Amino acid sequence: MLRENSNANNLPVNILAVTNETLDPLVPLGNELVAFVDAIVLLDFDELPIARQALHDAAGPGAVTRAAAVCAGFEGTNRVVDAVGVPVNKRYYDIADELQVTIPDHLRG
Amino acid sequence: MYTASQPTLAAPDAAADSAIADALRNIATAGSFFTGSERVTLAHQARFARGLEPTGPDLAQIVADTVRRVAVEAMNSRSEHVAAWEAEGLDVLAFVELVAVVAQISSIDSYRVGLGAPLDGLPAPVPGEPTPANDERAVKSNAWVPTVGIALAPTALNALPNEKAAKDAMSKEWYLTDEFVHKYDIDPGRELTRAQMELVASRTSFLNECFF
Repeated sequence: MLRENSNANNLPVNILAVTNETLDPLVPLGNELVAFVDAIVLLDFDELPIARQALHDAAGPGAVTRAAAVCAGFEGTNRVVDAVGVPVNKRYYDIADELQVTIPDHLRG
Repeated sequence: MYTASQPTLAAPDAAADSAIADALRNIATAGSFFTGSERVTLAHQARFARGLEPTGPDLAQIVADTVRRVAVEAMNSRSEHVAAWEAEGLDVLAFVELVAVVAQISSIDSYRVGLGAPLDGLPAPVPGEPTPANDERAVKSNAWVPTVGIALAPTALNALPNEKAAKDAMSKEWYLTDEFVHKYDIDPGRELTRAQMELVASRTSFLNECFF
């Protein structure tokens, strides 16, 4: 959906940054957001205060709240779709190839 | 072990807090297959599996294993796990209910962790017996569990409308309602742009090895 949003609004984005944190996503605050998400999902309690502070300093407390909220929502959705075996929509196969990730056979519809 | 930061660097969100309070009440209330007490125990086990509680509850092995897998390695789920659940004489929709509870508490906990806030206390169970509230149109189609229509992210829990509604209520406050998810020309009016929100979503899914 990152790519679709970019296309719809003619905004630059480097979706390879989704899978490679050394790249610039070309989204404002991209690096701060990626670092914050990483710390939440990986429950990295050493990095989390640093990442939270960096995002706060760059964009304020509202950005911290919204980023945590969106991340939290997908933490739930990811668990649901994987646990009940929702297959990956074929329209995402090309993006998976672009990101150099392999969709496992059990999730191919 | 997680400890909250003081002071928090996050902005308060009363609507999200209200939705979380509702979600916790829902977890504590009897569902279609589990009592409120059992559902709270599932949430406790999910926290324990994620290292957010020092001790876990006593649970039947297959239930404990299923909660742990959904909570910490959902990407390793396979159809064989659902088959093993049913081979124990358990209803496949009870599996769906478990998934819904574990996903919900995991979401809430990740939110609090992100904010640097204390975890919510597990709610006191509401007395009452489970009452089946499944959508009888649900059948197994393209997923491992029954759904009404083909299984997609928005329909994955729809065999149990109450569980879907509880999850949707949280998603609406945190992200977007389903009707706006694919409408990219609409500004969500959030503190982050749509592109920033999608970057957060994409990175979260990547780390969870989820292809949604």
